[in-house]
Amino acid sequence: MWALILPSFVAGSLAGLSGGLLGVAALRLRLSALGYAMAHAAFAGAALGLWLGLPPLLTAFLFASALAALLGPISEKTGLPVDSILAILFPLTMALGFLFITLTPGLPLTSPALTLFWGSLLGVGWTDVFVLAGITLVALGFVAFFRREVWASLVERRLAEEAGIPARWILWALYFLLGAGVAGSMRLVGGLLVYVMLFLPASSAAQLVLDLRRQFLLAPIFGVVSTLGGVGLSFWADLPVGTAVALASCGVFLFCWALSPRRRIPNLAEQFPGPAKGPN
Amino acid sequence: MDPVLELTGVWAAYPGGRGAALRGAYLRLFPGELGLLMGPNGAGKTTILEVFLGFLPYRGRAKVLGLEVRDHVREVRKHLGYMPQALFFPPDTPCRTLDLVTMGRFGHYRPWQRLPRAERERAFSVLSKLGLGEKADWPIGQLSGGQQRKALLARALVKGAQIILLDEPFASLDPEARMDLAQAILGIRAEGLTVLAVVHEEDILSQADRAWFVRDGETAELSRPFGRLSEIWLNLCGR
Repeated sequence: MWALILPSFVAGSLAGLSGGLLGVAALRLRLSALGYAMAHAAFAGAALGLWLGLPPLLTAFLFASALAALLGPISEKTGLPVDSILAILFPLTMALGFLFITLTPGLPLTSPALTLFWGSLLGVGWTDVFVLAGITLVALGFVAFFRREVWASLVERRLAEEAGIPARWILWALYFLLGAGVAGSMRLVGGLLVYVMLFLPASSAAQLVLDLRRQFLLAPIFGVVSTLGGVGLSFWADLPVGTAVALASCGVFLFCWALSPRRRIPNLAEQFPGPAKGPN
Repeated sequence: MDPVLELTGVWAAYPGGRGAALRGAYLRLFPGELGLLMGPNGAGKTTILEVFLGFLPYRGRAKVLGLEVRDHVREVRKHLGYMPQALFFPPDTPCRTLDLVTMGRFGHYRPWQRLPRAERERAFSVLSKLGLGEKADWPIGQLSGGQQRKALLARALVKGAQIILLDEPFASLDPEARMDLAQAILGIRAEGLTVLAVVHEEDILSQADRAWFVRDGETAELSRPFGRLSEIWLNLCGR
């Protein structure tokens, strides 16, 4: 039994850690379409792999990562914001995915390309764990080593550049890591719900702390708690893992929202004592 | 004496823009001087600052401390402190005032080097000098517009640059905040730094060493005494 579920728990921890960490950057850069666009890019990559007779999960990962690596240069060349490019890539990659599937005769609905959309708890193997471990290590190393550069580039890109920080390269590297992180986590939670792993832990952290560095510390913890909670809930309640992770993440977010200092309303009665007066 | 900022016949355009934003601009500013760029919106004033900062490609000669900007962008930026135009931080900006000011020193250190405590103390002392010491721990987005401008000025000063570029420093400020900021800018010049500022107001016009009227991407240097801004405007815009 443990041999069966251990890879899912380890993959869940790693996906939560990397998703929480990179989600802080995604939230700050307002890349709301990233989850969907990368999910569909991975789907197109998997379909391409099936059509060409290559391992679909490998082609899914490579296709999504390559597209993510190109986001920065495309944005700079075209002058379009990254979020707009993602909105264009979303239908394009979906269309490509369906095109490749049409070109591949006799493809069953249980094919790896299609299971990428909703994830599979039991489908997670040690290869997925190693891929996720690699992405998580690189993401952690990058954010830790370039902590000042990442922080400054996310606070204000132009000021960072003027201060002598290569903000352009830092942001391009973050786009790539985000794309790779999404592609690596899809096997577990599925493309349709990978969005929650990026944005909910980061949003939960932002409810409690304003400082970006503290968000980088807190969001991965929320990510791990949400993902492990979701994986556990999935086993316990026999729910699809993506659904369970989404429910657990929403629970963490609601808890943080309830405790958020941002919700505190100043007590006007204390600040302005005396009877309330209407206009004369 | 050689100029610290120099434009000679500079043409520049924004990517995807409709035509040139600068059309053969000329400018020379010398060490320790306060220079002002004035003119209508969209005339090319901000573009001049962006050319000096290496944010835009250009044709012609643009030099900072004798270095051609396009060939020495990283080196040039080390010598420039910059306050951008209309940059106001929303309340949820995840950054404290002291951190924003300290950011000005980041370029002096490699990623593997620890930022010494002395750098934060230096940032705090500049903030205090500008009257914002008590707000050092506040989130930058929770300061008023005037205080945010001062924090950005502190950031530009902390960098240790010899030349300060200010893009509309007085925009959206009330008269008291403008007076405060004007005093701070004149104080910087008194310390021997060179300042080039884009302005729409008269606050520091009488104190300036040089002023240019920018229109349709061309620069015209004004002769002293500069007189009133409204008169300059009427003469040069022909209305």
